[in-house]
Amino acid sequence: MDIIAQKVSFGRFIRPIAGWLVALIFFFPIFWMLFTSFKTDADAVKPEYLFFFSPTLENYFQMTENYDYWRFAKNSIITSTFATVFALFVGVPSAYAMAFTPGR
Amino acid sequence: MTDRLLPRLLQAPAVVLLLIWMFVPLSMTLFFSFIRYVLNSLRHPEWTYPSLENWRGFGNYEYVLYKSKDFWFAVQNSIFIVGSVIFFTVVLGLAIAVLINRPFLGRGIARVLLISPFFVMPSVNAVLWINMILDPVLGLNGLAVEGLNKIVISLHDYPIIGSFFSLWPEIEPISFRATQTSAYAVIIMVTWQWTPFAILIFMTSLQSEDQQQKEAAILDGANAWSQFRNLTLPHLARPIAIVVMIQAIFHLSLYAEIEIVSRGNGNKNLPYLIGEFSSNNIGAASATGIFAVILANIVAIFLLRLVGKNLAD
Repeated sequence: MDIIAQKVSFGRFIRPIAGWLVALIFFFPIFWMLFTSFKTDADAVKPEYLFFFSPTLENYFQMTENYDYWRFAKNSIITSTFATVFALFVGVPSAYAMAFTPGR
Repeated sequence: MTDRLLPRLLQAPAVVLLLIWMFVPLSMTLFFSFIRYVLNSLRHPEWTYPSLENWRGFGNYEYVLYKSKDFWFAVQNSIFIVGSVIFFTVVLGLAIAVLINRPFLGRGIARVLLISPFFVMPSVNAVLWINMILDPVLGLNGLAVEGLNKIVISLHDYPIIGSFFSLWPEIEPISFRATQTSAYAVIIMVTWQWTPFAILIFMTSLQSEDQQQKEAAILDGANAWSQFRNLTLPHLARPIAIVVMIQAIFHLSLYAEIEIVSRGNGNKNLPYLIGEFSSNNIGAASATGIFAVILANIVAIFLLRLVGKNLAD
């Protein structure tokens, strides 16, 4: 009874709190990257604008204007797609053969 | 004989391609490692293209081992980074996987948040951590230490606790760009990125754990730790071995993080050293590459034995 009661209190209170805490800690860097992407270049390094600032989409426009963003994005997509398709193309028949006709 | 024909035909492309892809680069690397092959050699123009006439024997290996001072440092650093990352990811992964194994409010969302770091590109991960979080001045690391110092100083004015806090020294933020500490920065960011992988693998195999065995253990009065040690850990032996193996393979070839964190400050691992050599001295780069292959095999065999022995029984 004692053990089960302990388990219930852990499951009901500590587990959700600890689980969410860990999840938020792990997600925080991604959130912070997203958060900072709405700051201007100058604001991003000023401690006084750490949490409160006027959000701007300037970075997103600059990214696509000043750099050849879409070409690089296209390169990434082409490499990853073709590598995956090619690996599947070669790998699936081989895996099929190994799974359904086990030799040796 | 016809029922053997189809599987062979199906396997042929994979086997042939893998043979070519393993054999050709490996034999070229071996060949280059035994000749003088220097791209920017002004005094010896004949060294700038690969040829058997520039045979050097084991000269490149001797050069890498004895004359280039970075080799042993790079080997040490590679092993240090791989070992630390594997240790932290397995420990954290186990703890978090056990924590979120039971249902709780919003577990699905928490799980997605936990897995999300795995989908960040390595170079983005490195830029994000080194510039925005670990930077000693502008990153959260520097800001947090500065804030802490300010709080401590503002507490000096209070009557009783002030004299206590005035004894506290001002803290200096750790600079993660120095030669000694940039390996720690790499370990932190790679651990952050790869713990989700360990969680994912451990979580799926925890789902298949025998619950009746667990209930029996609870009835027998086993506490949480001995349940974990005697039931869960043996159950997870193979997933742990898989996580360790895959991570050892992946992290021995770590490059993007090293490049972005420690560009120019002297901290390097084996792939980075190979990259440095290959901008000029292809012979030395190939010799280092052969050493890297040998090291990878040693690490793989060693880890398989270690994990297999400790957890199989």
